Amino acid sequence: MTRRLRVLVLLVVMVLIAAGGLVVAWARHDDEEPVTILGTWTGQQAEQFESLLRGFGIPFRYQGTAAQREVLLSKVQAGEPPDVVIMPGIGELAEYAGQNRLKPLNGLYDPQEYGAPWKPTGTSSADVYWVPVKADLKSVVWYREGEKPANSPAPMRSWCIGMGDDGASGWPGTDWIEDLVLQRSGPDTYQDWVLGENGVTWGSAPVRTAWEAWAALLRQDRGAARHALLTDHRGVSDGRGLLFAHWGGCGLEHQGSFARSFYTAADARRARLTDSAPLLPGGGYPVRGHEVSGDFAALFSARPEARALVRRLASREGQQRWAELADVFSANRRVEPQGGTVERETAERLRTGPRCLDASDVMAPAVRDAFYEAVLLTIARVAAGQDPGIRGLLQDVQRVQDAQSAPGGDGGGAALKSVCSTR
Amino acid sequence: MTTTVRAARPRRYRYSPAVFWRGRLRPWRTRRLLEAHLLVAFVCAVVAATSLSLSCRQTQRGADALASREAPAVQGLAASRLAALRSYQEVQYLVDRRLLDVAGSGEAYRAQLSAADQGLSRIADRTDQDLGTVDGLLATYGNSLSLGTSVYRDQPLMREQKLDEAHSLLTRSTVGLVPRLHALETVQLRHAEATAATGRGQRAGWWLGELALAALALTLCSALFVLRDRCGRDWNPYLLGALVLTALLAVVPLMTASATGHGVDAALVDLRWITRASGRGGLAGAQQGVTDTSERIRQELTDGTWSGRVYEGTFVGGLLLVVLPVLGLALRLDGDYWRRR
Repeated sequence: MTRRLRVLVLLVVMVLIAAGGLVVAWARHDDEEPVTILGTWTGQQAEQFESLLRGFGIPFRYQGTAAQREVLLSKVQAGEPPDVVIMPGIGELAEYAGQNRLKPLNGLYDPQEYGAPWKPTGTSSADVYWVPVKADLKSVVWYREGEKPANSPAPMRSWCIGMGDDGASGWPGTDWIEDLVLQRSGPDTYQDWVLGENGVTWGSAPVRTAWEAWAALLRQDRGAARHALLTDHRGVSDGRGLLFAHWGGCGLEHQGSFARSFYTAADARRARLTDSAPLLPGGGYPVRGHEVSGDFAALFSARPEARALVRRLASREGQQRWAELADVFSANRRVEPQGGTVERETAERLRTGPRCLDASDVMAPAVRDAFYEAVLLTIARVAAGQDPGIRGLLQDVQRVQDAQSAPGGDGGGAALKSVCSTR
Repeated sequence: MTTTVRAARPRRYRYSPAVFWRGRLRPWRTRRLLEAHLLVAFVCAVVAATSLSLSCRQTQRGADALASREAPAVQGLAASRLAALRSYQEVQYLVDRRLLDVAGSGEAYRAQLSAADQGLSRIADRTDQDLGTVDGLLATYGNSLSLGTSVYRDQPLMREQKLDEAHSLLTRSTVGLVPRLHALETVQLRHAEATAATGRGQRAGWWLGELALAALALTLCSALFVLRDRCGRDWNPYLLGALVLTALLAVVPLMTASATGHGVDAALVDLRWITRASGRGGLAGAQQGVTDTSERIRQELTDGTWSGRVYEGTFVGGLLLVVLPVLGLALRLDGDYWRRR
């Protein structure tokens, strides 16, 4: 073999080896499938969440949508569920857990970091299927700085109320009902109602009288009731939110700690909060507890990357990082609250005193939707000057709940053993 | 005397290309010259044939991808967007004319809603984008419309609440169905533009092919000259055939690619118009416009079926281009020199 030929052969072999290496590198890159995450956060909240996830170093693809139930159901039924889902509805997650579609989260986080009512070991099985990755405080009222309300029930015109939402209209009204039950009857009765225990049904006095008290508030001003029915809870798109648009001179907003995301940055700095109990209709109630809500992460896949992402998200470090990045609160006991007076007051209420999970989040989706519609019908009838027919509405919701619990039903009702921190 | 002085000087040659080239080739022996021409012609032909075939294939694939995937995806998304808007308009029409309580009066909005849904289903396999969110939003939007037009048709306030909810689902800034569909369209349009664009590699391929053909043509002319000048052979038919083929391959594929490019550019202009169609001047008109433009795009992109034959011909011509010069020179060399070794 001549020298030139030898050099040529060597060059060809080197080119082949380099080409083979490229192919292997490409194949490996193709194997790094991103972790798919489905949530409800859009806009700025979604950007902040994605910013947090990028810090984990795990490839991901986040999809945020208001139509999460429909999207998730469609993907699950098509056999292509997302790896991770984050949603407020424990009741819906419980349905998927009952169908054995969720993977246990055992060992992915320290249960001691999450106390009641977040502690998911309230489920009937030994496995845990969801972990709270974001917490929000309810049973509070927002007001503008310098306009603190008196410690007594406020008239209808004082309230900035909106029932509208994308596909879930009515939930702000359910927050009113839930808060009234909690403050009027206490956490134990609240829990019995949510879990359908100890004879507390939808038609029972605690629920019915709370509903009537709310209807009485609406009746004070039919025009305001009509406005509330037809207004989105976020206000107009790119607006100042309900509190700072102060339609009709309203100055109070019964809304969760996430309300400030509806205001402009400048307005948010002027927003203050107080406990809702003294201001609720029919009341002057003592503060008997706070309603809380959360966004819970659950796993549909057993991929190591998905499990690693949830582990990072639920960890103290991940939760601390998110609290620092965005204006969010964590259910993790070891996370230090960030921000000023309002943030510290919110965090304090999230950690101390009786706290109960949002009732409609715990309910099965069918019961939850019936609850929403019953609230909307109440407002509509009051605004139209009609009898709201509360007993009939409550009977209808009870029927839907009973159908869920009956054999052949979806096995609805709450999957938890407790929803309040008092038990 | 001047005439005698002039007669003593050497006579200047008149300039001619043949003389020039003969002078350049004088140091070479005839056999080596022909072998060199054979090698150069072979290399130029291989490079030209490969570059042209690859460039033609790339151009054709880009146009095909645009016709079969990208353009239909943009058109489908636009059609679904306008259909969703039209469905709401139809419901408003029913409300304004108090026709909601008339049985079967909702056919128009249901048809538009169904069209929007069908549109998304049809393009699902033509786009890499995830349509799950818009599918879910469309379902929720349809549900709100249905509640407003059926369940609560007799309850004005509840009906208004459900229709307001539907409108919010449809048009809310960035998160509504229409803004999301428009965002998907924009991304899909960018995909289409990227698919149709002639990249640097593709341009380089065309340049390389044309330069190689030019070099081949010069080589063939030189080979013919050598054969005629040194060997006394008249026109070699293989080399002549290769020369004609070189000229054809230098012109026809490039003109075809240019025509395809014009068709693609026209289609992109139309796709951009479709993406901008908002229906502000009337949804029915906008939908008709999108339909007409979509048909025009289809015509612009499928009129190039003849170009497929040109590209096939380019490939075959390229093979012949390699074979003919080799045959022409190798046979001559074999007959005059190699066999006599």
